[in-house]
Amino acid sequence: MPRPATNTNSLARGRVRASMNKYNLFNLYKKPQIRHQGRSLYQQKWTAKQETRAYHGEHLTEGRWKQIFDPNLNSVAQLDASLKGNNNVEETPVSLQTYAVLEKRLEFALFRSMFASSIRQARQFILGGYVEVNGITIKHPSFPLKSGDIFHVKPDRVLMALGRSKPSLAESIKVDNKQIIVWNEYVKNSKKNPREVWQLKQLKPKSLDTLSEFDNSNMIEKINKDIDNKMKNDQKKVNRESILSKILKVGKGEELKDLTVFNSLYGKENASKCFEIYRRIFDTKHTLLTKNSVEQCRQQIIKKSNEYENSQDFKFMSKIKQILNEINKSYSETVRLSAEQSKLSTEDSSKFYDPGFASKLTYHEKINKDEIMEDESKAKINLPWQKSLFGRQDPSKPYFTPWTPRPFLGAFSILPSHIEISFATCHGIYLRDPVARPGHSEVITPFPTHVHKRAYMYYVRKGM
Amino acid sequence: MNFKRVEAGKLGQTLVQVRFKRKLAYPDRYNPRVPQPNGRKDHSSYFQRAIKQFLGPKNIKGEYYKNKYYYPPQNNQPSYIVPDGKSVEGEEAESRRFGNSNRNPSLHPFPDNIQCKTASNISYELREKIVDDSLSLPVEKVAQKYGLKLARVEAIVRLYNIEKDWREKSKITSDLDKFSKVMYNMFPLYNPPVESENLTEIPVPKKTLHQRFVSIAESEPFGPVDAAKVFGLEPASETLAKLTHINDDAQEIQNHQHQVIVGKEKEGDRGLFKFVQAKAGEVGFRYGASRRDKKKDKAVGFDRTGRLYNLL
Repeated sequence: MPRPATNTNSLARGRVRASMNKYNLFNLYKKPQIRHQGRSLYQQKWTAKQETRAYHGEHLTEGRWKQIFDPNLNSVAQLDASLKGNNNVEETPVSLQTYAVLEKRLEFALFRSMFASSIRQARQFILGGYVEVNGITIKHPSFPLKSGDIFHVKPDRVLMALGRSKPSLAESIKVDNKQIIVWNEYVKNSKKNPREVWQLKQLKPKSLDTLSEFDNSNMIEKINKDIDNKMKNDQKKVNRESILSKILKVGKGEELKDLTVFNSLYGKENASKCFEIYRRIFDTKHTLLTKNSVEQCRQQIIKKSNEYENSQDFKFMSKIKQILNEINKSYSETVRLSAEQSKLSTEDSSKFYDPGFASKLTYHEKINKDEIMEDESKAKINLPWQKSLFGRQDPSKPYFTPWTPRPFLGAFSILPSHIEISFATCHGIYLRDPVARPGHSEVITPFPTHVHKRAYMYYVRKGM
Repeated sequence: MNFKRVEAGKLGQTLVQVRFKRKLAYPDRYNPRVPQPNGRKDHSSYFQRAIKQFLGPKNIKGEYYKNKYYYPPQNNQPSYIVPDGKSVEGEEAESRRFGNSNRNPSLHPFPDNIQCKTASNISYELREKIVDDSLSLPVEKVAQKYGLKLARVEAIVRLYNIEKDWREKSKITSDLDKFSKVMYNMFPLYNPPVESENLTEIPVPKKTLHQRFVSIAESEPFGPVDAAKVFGLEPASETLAKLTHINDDAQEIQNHQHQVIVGKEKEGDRGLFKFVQAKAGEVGFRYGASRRDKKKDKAVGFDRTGRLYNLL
């Protein structure tokens, strides 16, 4: 049985817990520094033990933890330290290993690999039968993992734990009603004075939302990125063999009088070069004149100097290659310049202004709460950013759909060194028990060495 | 904790009466600018107002859209908390420096503990390369090439194969895919030559944690190998070689088999007799011996079906 959880995230008590709760974030944020000055040794040890135990295995009773506690702390030595020649090797934070024995428990591994948002939730998942270790459902949160064990959580649970909480139907309708009111107001204003609304929209500060697709400045960045990608593709497509092949195909093996036919190929500035290549090949009646596919051209171009029949042929081909290189270079430069020109500037987004934008906007119908409460499928939402009820695209799922990361996820997500994780399949492999090495401890803990040292002192004397 | 000094005049002595008073967890790293209660009917506590100020305003969808930590970073650069009292966008930063100056908020998750770092993720491209190489090279070579621990390389390949299998069976839903991409973009990416793992790590032997005094002549050379001899240990290089060498356990297990004798089945026998080699003390119960399953620190094991049982 876990310890009962009473007021774990109290702001007045201000303990830091192993949880992704927003109250816990604030507790961590405002955490006063732990000071030992002017306190007796026992007081220091007691405070250190209180603080660290609130984070490490808060759900375990003190008696249980004392049984688990192991006074032998694991650390590693690096053999190449002396070879590197720097004598000031950082200190190994061995005392941070005080709670390392807990990390091998399955519940801890789930929380560390971010498949659950708190240790207590990880326990719930295990007890609910959503967790497998090496392909076998394990229902014991204390299951000790060994090096090489592979664990897996049902993806629905992970998405629930790491996603926003799913709103109830009533909450969802409430949010959508508010959104519709604001949207209709916006449409009304835009129809009245489109220019002003447009300008107001431009003045709006950039959203902090890293995942939003409807942000104006993000849209510009996206368009610019697309242009960049297209340019790179265009440049990649054109190479020496493709240029040569195209020139020969345009020439059709006939004698040409002037270079206007090459104007459309790689621009007017390159037409003369194209013409020169064609003229040279035509004059020598080279085999390329008839065999002009890209592959055949490539064969000719990659021929090594010793493979030619005579030096004249070699000289002829190297001259052609040189001109082809020039064409290639100047063409990719033109492609780059035209791409640069078509890019949108991030400051001046007035290019987007379309006087008719307001006429395209349509009012959204109000939704009937009572009807939807009876049958959810009757909800018809058609906002530009949302095509179904808020957070309930698929009401059968236990999480917010479409999946959206939970609040403050970034502040809590720490990739562990002792577990390798695959988020796409919700699998994790326990590599080893966490260890301490010079300047680094694999046990994830918010407390500094001096606090852990005192907590260790408390437990190594069996809580005295 | 507060100390209250009480004079006990009668006895002519000074007694110290210690009265415990819980100190509330007020912030001490920054100057909190907590708004005053809003009117006489506002009974919200100091901390309730403080967290409201920390979180910032909410939009219609319920997002704290101005809070710096609300949305996950998506540029492979984590942004962990910096307790400077400026959690909401738009507030000007104070000039004071907070906490440990060596701390990097995109590497160290906690302000106080810079020995705790986030690990880095293996990029999709690097993962492909590792998997490709592991087909042609031995795992030790791949581990050395990319500066990763042996176990990690093996895990990467295993997880890659599972993911491939899931993709072929289209078990990865669009939501799961989005989740994995968000998580991928949140962590720093592994940059092989710069931040490669140290492959010369060995566990610190317990014997070396205590001091040992040896008297030797001043001219006598004394190096790490001699020290190992004094402690009765093998040289560290040997330990490392053992740790990084993969020995074929599967073959050994196959070679080691239980000796079993099956009795001859006779007419009228209801069961088949089977004799298995065993060692006394390792199997069965001894009458009258104490059972550890009644002890507080009883040893437990898990059987093949994942059920817990008490070890002897």
